[in-house]
Amino acid sequence: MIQTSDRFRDHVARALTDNDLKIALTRTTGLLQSRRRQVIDEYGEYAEARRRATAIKDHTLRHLDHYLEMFEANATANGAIVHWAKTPAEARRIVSDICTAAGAKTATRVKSMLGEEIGIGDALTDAGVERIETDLAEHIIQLAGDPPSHIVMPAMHKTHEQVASLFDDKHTIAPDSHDIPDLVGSARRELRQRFLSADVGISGANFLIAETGAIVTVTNEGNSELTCTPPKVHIVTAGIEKIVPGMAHASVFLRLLSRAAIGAEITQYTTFYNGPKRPGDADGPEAYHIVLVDNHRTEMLGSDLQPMLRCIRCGACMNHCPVYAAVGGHAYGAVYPGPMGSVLTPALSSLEAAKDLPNACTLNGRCKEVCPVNIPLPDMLRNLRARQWDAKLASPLTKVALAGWGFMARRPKLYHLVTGLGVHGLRVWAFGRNRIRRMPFAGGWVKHRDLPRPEKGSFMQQYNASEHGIRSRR
Amino acid sequence: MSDRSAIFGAIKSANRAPALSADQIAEEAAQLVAIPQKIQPAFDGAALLDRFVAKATSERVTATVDRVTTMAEIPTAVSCYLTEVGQTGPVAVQDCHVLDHMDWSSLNRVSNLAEDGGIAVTLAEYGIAETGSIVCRSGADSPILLNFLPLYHIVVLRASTLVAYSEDLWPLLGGRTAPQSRLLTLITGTSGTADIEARNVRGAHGPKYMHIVIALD
Repeated sequence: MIQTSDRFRDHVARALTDNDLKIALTRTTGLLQSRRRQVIDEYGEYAEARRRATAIKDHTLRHLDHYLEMFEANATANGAIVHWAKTPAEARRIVSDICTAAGAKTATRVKSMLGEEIGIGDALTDAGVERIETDLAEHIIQLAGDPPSHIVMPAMHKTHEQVASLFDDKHTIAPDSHDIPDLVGSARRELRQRFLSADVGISGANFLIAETGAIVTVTNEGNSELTCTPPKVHIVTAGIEKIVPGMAHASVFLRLLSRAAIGAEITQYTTFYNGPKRPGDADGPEAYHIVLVDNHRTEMLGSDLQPMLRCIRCGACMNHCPVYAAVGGHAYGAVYPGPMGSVLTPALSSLEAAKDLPNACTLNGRCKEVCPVNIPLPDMLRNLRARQWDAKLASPLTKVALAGWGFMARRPKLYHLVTGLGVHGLRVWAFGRNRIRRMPFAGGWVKHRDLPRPEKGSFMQQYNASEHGIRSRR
Repeated sequence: MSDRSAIFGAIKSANRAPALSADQIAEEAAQLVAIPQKIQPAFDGAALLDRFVAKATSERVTATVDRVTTMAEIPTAVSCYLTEVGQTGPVAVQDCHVLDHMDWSSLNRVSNLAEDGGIAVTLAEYGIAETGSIVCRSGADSPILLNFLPLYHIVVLRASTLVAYSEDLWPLLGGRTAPQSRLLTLITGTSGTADIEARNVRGAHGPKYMHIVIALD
């Protein structure tokens, strides 16, 4: 997809007036939050598992070259052909060459964010290969011509009513009804034959296991095995940070990933692929390729962005982000939306091309709290803001506002007077109601939500009037 | 410079910590998964079989379970299940040593599935009690698609093959030096999706129903 993060403000303005989007987001984010909370609460060992997962990722990143070499040697011994790509362009070239050499006309694909990142759709188009997305959400957005809006549920922005009219329009046989189960059934009918007749199957990898050379996919639909078994070629594309030392380490992450992502103890299908078809095997591909992609990851290594390489792409941060819940994933204009995307997008492109993203954050800290590998997302976003300031990328309004705030903050008496008056003014403006719906000169603040009426008195006024404040002045 | 050496060069210049020997790294990695009990969800003393059945039949996993005493009773148990759900077959039974030894004459046994909507009986190599998962590997006598294509997936599981946690399974597969089959899959229930408005629906691409017949002997 073409990155449009530089137009974040325009995207947000449009998203906030999109009623279908609001309905779609309201129907999903709450459910995902409550499902996650339930399975995490039931998992008494969660805190230790999270601590270990974080330590395993840090360990693996510290010895990344060692583990990548081990993975390459074991995967090769298993019969894989391992390719390395520094850039998305190189990864696309490799995929497109494999398809051409195989004489492929069609390719089924299991959703992978790395595939989106490198623009695998374009690689297939270049090779003259028809791409068939098999994940239900990817199937929906392929038919709609949309980019993904979430890393686990790429069609989160669509209501079932919108999906129904899309399937009515595009499926060979229209859905039996517009109920969700019949919509799912219609996609099954549409895709079944395509799975079995594809020339190439393409997957990502949730994990790469160094000690065995296996790649792991987790799905609920079972589309990975249906994609990677019937065709004669299986291509895996994966980021180099997906590596873990061994099977026992994978067990740690499998428990966390599905709990954080979808609120389940395990996904329905957890599959380890070890290579091509073995002699005598009843099914499986003749050829098996693994494309390992860098795309700026080695630049993040050793920098303050390194913790981002721990990310296992569960999507919990976006499910719990108030900004994401209000504007949806497309507003971010990049492959990775939400809090993790706001950190990753500048690293994968440039700070300038994504300069509004680090500011689209209230610093409420929920993303870090729910992150299964404890990535300090709010701190990293704050750092990016500081870097923007240093690189003189901050907007004129930010500069004026910060200069004004700095002037006041150095004059405490004036500061307390003005904030006290501000609070008083807002309380008067609320006209006795609990919510403020209109605001002169600052309409943007209340256009899409109400501002609660402030408590009586500024923080300092309340503090000074409290027991604690009186005592501290004695 | 090849992309491979560019990537390794970049990693080496970013990771400036003193290099450890392979043995030291392996030791560090082993420490990180030592005492797995600290992170494995505790069963509170429940027997493996009870835990497996509770998880497999849970609201999330949605499988049904039947128990028989000996392997010989399995074909009859499968027939009973099919009668219960109003299905008459044909039934694709995995062509493997263990299942071939049974008398399937009460069923219309076929070797290949219809393109969609069929019934298949497959053998699980292991079961995992923690999550109610069954474990299958591809092989000459194990077409992996038999687990993914049918609408009704009937699984034969021997209670003696149950392990508590996935960590207990890895050593049974022969360890890191053994040749690995192409594909190893942990299947937990049926094919499902929550891709439309996060609503859980079964029978997305693969099986809509999973029935596990457990032989206790």
